[in-house]
Amino acid sequence: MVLAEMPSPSDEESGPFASVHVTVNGKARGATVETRTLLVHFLRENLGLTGTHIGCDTTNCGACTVLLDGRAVKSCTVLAVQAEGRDVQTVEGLETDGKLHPVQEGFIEEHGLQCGFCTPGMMMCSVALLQKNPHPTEEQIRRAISGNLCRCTGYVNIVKAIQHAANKMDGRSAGGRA
Amino acid sequence: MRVEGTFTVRAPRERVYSFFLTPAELSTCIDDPHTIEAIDPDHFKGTVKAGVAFIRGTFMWNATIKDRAPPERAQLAVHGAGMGSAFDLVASLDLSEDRDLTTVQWGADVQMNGTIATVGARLLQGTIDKKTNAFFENARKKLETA
Amino acid sequence: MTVHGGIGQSIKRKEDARFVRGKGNYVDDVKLPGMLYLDIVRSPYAHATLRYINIEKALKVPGVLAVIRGKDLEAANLAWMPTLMSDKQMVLPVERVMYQAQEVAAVVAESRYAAADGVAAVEVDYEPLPVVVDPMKALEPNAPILRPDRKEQTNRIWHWEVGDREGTDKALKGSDVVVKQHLYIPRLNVASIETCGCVASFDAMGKLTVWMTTQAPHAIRTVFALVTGLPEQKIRIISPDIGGGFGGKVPVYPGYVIAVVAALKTGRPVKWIEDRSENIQADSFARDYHIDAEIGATKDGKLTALRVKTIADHGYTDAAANPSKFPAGLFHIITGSYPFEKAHVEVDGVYTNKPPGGIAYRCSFRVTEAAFTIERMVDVLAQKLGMDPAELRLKNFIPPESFPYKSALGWTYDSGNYPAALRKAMDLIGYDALRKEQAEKRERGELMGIGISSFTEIVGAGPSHTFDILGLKMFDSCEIRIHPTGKAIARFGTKSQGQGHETTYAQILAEELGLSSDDIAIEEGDTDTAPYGLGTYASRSTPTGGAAAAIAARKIRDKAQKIAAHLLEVSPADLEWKDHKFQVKGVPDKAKTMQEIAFAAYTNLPPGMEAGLEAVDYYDPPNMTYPFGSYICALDIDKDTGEVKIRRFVAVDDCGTIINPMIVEGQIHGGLTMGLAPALLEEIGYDENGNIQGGSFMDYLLPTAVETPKWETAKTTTPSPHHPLGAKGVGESATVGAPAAIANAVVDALSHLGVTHIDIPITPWKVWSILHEKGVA
Repeated sequence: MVLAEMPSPSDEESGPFASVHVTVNGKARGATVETRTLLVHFLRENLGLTGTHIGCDTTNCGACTVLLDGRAVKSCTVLAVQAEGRDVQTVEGLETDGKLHPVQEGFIEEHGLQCGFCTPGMMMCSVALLQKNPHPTEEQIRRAISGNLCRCTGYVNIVKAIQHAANKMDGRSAGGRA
Repeated sequence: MRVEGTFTVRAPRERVYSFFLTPAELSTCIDDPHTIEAIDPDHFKGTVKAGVAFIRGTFMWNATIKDRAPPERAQLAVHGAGMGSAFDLVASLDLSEDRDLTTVQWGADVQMNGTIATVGARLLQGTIDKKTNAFFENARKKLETA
Repeated sequence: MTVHGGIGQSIKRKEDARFVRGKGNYVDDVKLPGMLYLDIVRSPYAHATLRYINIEKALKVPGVLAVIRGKDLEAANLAWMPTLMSDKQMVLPVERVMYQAQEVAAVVAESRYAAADGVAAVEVDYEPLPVVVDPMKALEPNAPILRPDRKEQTNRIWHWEVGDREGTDKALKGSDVVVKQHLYIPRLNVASIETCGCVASFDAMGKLTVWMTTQAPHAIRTVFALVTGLPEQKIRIISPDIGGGFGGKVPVYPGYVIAVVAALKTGRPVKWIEDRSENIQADSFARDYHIDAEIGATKDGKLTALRVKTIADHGYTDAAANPSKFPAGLFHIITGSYPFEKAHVEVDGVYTNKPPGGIAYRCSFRVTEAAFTIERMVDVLAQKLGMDPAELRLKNFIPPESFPYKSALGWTYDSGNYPAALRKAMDLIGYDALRKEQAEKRERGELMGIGISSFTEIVGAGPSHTFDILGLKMFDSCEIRIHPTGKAIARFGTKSQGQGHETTYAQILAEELGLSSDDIAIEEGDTDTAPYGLGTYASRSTPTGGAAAAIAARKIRDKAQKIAAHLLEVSPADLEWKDHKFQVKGVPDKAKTMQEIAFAAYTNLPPGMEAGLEAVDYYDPPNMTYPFGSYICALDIDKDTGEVKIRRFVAVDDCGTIINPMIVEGQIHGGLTMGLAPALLEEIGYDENGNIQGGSFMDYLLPTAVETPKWETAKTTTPSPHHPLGAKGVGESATVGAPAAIANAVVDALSHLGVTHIDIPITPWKVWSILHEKGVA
């Protein structure tokens, strides 16, 4: 004998699939996915852009950071459908015409990476920072990347890498190792 | 963990006792979406959509009423599981009457396991307090108006 | 002629080219046609009987192909598997679960999301059993026996001891001063940013390939062969790019075995990637040592004896990754940088209802536990004697002329100069000025602390007479082949997870062969092609793999010398290897480079000589290596919040010969940060029901760029006398040495209030509570 029943699902739940169109790294891309698909899975599995990584399940680590309409977001906490009609930039889009972005160069020159797993997210966050604040202080840099966890480098060289990029983008000659 | 408290309501003891052991009545006090199904007068089961902060989902539960001693005492054992979590509680009710006021001394030994107790550990006490307060306030409204 | 990219040069890393472009190849990047996904149902209970597992609903979930349970594995004798310490571990339970988040069943589905839906639909009924989370309580006479399958019905796994018990007891009794301290080093998780996972795939002829996050691919292949019965030549383990290991990717996790079974059962490739929560809650832990330590000294501060008793919480099975003769790893390095004449250490391993382990957390084998204990205790003693901690250390260090030094607990330290490292650190941080400042601040009621850690660690496992893992000796290997155009490829039995082997091994070979490091390709991780090795952990790659590279290169030089002699029409004895080429002694412009010799090896050989220019070496290290250092930490404490702010941290490290200074510095920065983490932030705790407290990054706190100070590094160089390059290894030194420096600094800041010890992690709450209790906050 049933004494109480669940309310039936209302129209708040949309259908299970949706066709998503996003501009990724300047190219129009699209796929039909389950509406619950995370942007990070859409990028990695539907579009084959595996440079963006997954490092946690509570939005803490930042390995999945991409730019959404120029703003750094954690793509594990964005639904693919939320990116509909918008502009996404991933690590694969940093290099242009075979030339590395100053942030990429900075990370190589200053040994800002070791295992490389946090690196794409760390670099995308850095790109967003330098777009907003082209001459950040060390404290501003550390605060900006505080949402990106790294286990290998201890952050000192990541800060140097970002400073290197800032100087390069400014036209000044970058410091760095001999 | 142990949760306990005292609930005083302006209603006759028999009515209060019957209220707390009748699933259809209890159902009206539970705010979370749920189902209840009676198997026999002492055994019930169902589902409930609940959780701690953002850790929510559907739990299956079953309950057994034991140690009935109307209108003074009863015990209720509930087991629930779902979403990588499990809870077990044994609740006891002791009712006493003073003129038109009934006082219910209630207590429950609650054991929580799994996601709710791990990821939600910090929020657990607060959520339990909130839910038991809401439950008893709803019960009060129902008992004092009918 | 200097060679390009030789030893000692800070050349940029080769591996960076793909990583900065997002073109790394990590396990989750592997995509095979028809690939399925595996997800795991996990127990909410820490200890329970498994009543039933109902998979009907799960099988009906769209996209779910199969559900695997313990009884399915039992039929193939795979429900249990051996651990690296010859204990046994469940792959999937048949009767009982023994820790929260234990694997209970596995769902195989067409997509990651369908697999998760399937997991939610599996119905499991448990009968909770009494939970044991306190290892001390586990040893009490009426504690529930957690492992009825063991011969001896006790929760004590093993007892291990070393040293002179009677002599130590006597020496302590006869000492003027004895300090005693209980220290708890809590359970930790290494939490590399990439979690564990694999892709298992059988080809049409029944050969199994597994892409796996593993630090030791060959050992895994052999273990798989023994456990599954598949012939070893039909198993290929590929360890591609690994997003950090730190010891957490050494064990064989049940998920790997289940994925292989699922691939066999479905006939399709199966991918398993664990979530971060699964990683923190179920993967092998590190530390969890309850230590009672005592040091004796004369009244003027000369150390006499050391006695240590430890309870080691191992979870429900001993799945530690230690060399087999050492259930407590290399904990007996605990005499540290000091010449204790008498010492005794005993450790008891205990079962509890927690995940199994313990593994290293970037610390060789239990070396951080040892270094933390001795360096903390030296400060406890300094405080008792009213002596400056630097002075006490300088008074006692093993003198530089005593090396090789045999410790009271059996280790022969290869080389060291401890006073030089400490003096350099004191100089760099301005120690005397800091002490003055501290005294002034104390007058004003401000809290400032200075902490020292002068550690000696032991790495490079290890010599075959003492070291093995499951019987496999701990040599390592390098196989080099030089091509006709003077380029080379070298493969190793080690496996980098970010340490830069593609660059550093090429530098060693560039130096030894006279080739440019740009011309040398380095490969690791594919068991079909790489020579057998025991992998990378415990800072062993440079001591073993690096040595193998040097020896193999020298074998090539032996042959090359004969070819050069043939080309120059002289006898080999007339040639010497100088300036990276073979020169006629006394006639430097009569020379041949390795490029020229390489071409000749295929085109113009001395009569009777075999073609080709290659060599392989399996290097059995004659001894361990003993990197050391002195770290000094200066910090300030906020009285109102208890927050600890590191103002300066100077790290002087000595790892012998340095291959690439830039890479070594990076290793130290990373290691220091993994030393700060347990000192101030990280801890895995359990409530009385065995629920892990936290179990995600929301509660298990990793240092971010905000908490991490600007590390200051420097070096001294004391080469290892037995290593072909004089190198010692450095990946873990900083994680070994840093926690004590920080803990010592906090206690130092509060010592005038009577504080003598605080267990790590030293959270703001702990500090504030102490200040509140002392009436300061």
